[in-house]
Amino acid sequence: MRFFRQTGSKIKRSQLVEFSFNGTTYSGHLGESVTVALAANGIITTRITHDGSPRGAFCFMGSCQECVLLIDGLRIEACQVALSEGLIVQSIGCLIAEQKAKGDENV
Amino acid sequence: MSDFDLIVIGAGAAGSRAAMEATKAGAKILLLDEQAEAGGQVWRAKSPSIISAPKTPETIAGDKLRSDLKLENILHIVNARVWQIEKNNDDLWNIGYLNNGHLHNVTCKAIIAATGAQERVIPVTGSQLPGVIGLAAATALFKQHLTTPGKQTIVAGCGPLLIFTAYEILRLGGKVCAIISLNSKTNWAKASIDMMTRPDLLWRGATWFAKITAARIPIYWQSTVTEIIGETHIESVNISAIDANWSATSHGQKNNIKADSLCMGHGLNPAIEATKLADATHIYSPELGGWHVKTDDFGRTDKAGLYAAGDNAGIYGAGAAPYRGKLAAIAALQFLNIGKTQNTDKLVAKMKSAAKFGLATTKLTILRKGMIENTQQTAIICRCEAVSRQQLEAEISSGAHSPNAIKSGTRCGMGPCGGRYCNDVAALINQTISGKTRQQIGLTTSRPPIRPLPISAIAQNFDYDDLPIPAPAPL
Repeated sequence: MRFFRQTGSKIKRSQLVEFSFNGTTYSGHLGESVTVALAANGIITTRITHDGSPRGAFCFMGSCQECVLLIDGLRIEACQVALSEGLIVQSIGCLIAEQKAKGDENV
Repeated sequence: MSDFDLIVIGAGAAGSRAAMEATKAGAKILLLDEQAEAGGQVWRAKSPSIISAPKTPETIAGDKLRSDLKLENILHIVNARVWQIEKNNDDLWNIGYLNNGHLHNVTCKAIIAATGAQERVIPVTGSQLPGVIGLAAATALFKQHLTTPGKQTIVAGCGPLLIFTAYEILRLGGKVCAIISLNSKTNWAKASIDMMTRPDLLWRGATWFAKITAARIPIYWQSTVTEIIGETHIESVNISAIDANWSATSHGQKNNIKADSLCMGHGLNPAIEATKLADATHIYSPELGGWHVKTDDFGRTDKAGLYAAGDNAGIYGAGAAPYRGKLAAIAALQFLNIGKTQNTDKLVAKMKSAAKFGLATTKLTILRKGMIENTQQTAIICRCEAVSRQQLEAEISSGAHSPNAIKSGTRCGMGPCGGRYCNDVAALINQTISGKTRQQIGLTTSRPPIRPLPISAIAQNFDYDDLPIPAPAPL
């Protein structure tokens, strides 16, 4: 776990809900941002650039575009989306690989 | 007929106050903001995942702003991203914004742009690795999620955010491995004298230093991060002492510190995309964060009906922002012929007095000329398009001297962030080769959309069968 979450008595967090990332189920607190939920599960790489270098969330305020993911079908900055039960999250790279496997040559 | 008298872009410290002032006077206004709640970056609200948490002076001030705003019954659209600003044929402003995947167009007679600032991070080799975030980014994590950036964090850069970030990590129970400060102790001592105008904030800063000292966090004064080591994420950080120009010296003491996260920031740049698109004049002054929209004390730009309030018109800080918001609202109301004229001398004096604190903190973040020497050839300047310093230098040396030429030659600044994180650094590199001033180098041309738009929002729902296909031309 990379993001150190405070579970001390002074901070009370919402209940845990399940969501999926690239097909695997994870859990996070209802209403926290998707980037924070992913990081708490050890996932800090959100995209791979065209030259193969990994990138993660950088600005946490919806500007830098490094954490853009496909969330319930919408391409959006994960730091701006609140986690809800059953959210389907996919990296753009994973989506492209999936479509190529289906035989789509245009991706 | 316009939809609104006034549209305020940004619901931070300046925009919220501007919206309240204009509403009180009876103007029909719309407040547009990108976040889920008002407060901007300084008074950022907690996420709904936090049921309860200890209050801090920052959360109390933010909550007050939000409750004041609610009392005024202002039409406030959250999660709204302005992507287009233009004058229409009736000489009204036309504003396009994206909200929950849909595009909307509204018209108004006047605009107050209160778009704030964005962080400047001068890259070094490895600064693009996951686990490296900005200092302002870290404060967003603290304020919104009460979460630390990692288990072992290095905090590096300059200005007050450096100290605040280290303090917050400790408060939330995280571990700070080291603080790497470009500023010297003397810089801080001198700045404290200018900060006497706000003894309350100076005292708050002193408590941050006290907590850091009590926790025995090593502070490397007059030092900088020279390289970030790691394959898939940050593993350790190389640091070095710097000279008076902030260049890492060859004979300076060097160290390698292990960490799983790094928060690094080098001051703030005014967020000028909106006012640039509206074609207002911008000026460059390092003591105000670099390029910012040119205004008078009332936020009047050189475009009729366009006003600016807050850090996008120069980094005067959060203390001055509410006054700047009020003053811009007064000027806009005057333009709209709404309400009575009032004596504003006291308000201007209060704004100037509050600005002294902000100017003192901004001064700590003015980059010295050696800073850009620490950025290696392999360092990634444009994160979106993965453009290195080497590629930029080759392009500039081959004759691309304007920001537009560099952009089209290398794709630096052409990615989805719109050049917000690389334009300033690219210009610093340009300076070292061309020898031009920042004013001579200038800015890239602004074009809509100033925020990324999904194709689905532009195209909306359609079936391929609905597309009109012309009959094929006869052979």
